[in-house]
Amino acid sequence: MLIVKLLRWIFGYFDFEIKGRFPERFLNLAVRNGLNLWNMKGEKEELHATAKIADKNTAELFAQKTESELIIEKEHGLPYLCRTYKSRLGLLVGLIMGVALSCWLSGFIWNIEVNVPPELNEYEIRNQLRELGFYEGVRYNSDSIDNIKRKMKLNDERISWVSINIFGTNAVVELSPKISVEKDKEINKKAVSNLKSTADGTITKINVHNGTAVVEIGEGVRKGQLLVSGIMEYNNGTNVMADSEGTVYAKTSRTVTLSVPKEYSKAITSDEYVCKREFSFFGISFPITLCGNPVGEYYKKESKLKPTLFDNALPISITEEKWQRYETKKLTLGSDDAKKLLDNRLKLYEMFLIYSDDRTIISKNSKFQEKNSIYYLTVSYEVEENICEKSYIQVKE
Amino acid sequence: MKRQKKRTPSQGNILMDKINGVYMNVCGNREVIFEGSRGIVEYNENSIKINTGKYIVAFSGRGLHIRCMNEFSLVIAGFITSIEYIM
Repeated sequence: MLIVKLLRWIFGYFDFEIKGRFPERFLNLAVRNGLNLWNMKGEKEELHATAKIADKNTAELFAQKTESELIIEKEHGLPYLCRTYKSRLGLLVGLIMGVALSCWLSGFIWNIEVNVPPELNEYEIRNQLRELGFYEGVRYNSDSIDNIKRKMKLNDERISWVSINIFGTNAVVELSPKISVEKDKEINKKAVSNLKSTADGTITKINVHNGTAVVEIGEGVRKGQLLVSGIMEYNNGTNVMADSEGTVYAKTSRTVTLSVPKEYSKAITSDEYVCKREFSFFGISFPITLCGNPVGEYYKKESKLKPTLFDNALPISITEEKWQRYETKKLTLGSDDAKKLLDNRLKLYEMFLIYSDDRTIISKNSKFQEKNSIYYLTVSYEVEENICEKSYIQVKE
Repeated sequence: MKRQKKRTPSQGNILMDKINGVYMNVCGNREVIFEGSRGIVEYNENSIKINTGKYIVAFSGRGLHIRCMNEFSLVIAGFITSIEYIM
């Protein structure tokens, strides 16, 4: 029904009234001759109806034939609208210019969306695209986009695949990072390996899945010493070379020294700031605030406001630069505060380096001291850990 | 000159021949789909009379109007109180 209404509006229609002794005669004549009428309302010696503008002359002729009077009540639709604004040439010029401007502007990129994987940085990618001439407000063609894709892959070794999809005036950049395959981790069924020690210590536990253990529990080992051999000897005198697997736990000791300077400088932000705003319209930027970049100790915070319409970014944006003033102050760290700070750092160290690698702390001995305006925290650990490290042997057949 | 034969509503339709060229589909008292019209005799808010050739069918009621029509059929809508056959 909506399409019918739209078509009627485009082609134009008019409401009319038929006055006469027998308006029914007009109705019969009209339908017999294929005149399309709607909204028919009959009253005494009167008939109201609507017809297409193209049937106006025919309707008038039928009214004459049936000796009734046709009175046009109202005219609707595009042809009447055009006739109303016929004398206003400016409107037509504006319409043509508007359409032309819209066509011309649709050849530009007004919004770039970059979907980057966690391995890559969006800011870097955007800068790379800008350097290659792909930024908001640039006129594009398919050749230039192919060129940009090729150059991006060549310039950045981290990128393995780039795709730039254009949706109207929006561009969506999709990237895929290169997956590096470590050669050591490649599956090699014929590999022969030994297990070697990674630290000095005393063996506490041996668990060998493949290979021959060459050390015993309670034995002291040095870093790089052979723990499990990949060559297995059988009772009948034959040798078999295997990929050694297993765990060898040993008591090891390690020392960590953490330090923090007694005097340090700290940036303290003040309430004073300078705010710069810039309005960007179709890629052209205009400053809104009349102030330059401040001189002194300031740090810059930038935010961009980009309005959207129906989930589509508009080619308008307001960029705000907030230059916050800060002062660098020299502070002296007290002994208690330094101890607290170093303790926290030690906790982090233990969490990430000791507990994460299947290690157990047997005993811990810490010493806090101040030397040459630097606080030191030295901690000696006795740890039980797996000291095995795979060492491949090259075998020539 | 060959005289063109006048088309009738029942032409080529066995069902229409059997029912004397008139077929009415009455939907409650609000709408009537009428086939086999030869012309409208009277048309106002309270009465619509349709010529079928053999008789006139008169619809009486309130706010009666023709929703759409062509040469042989039409749709009458409104509050219908009676349907009368005038021979």
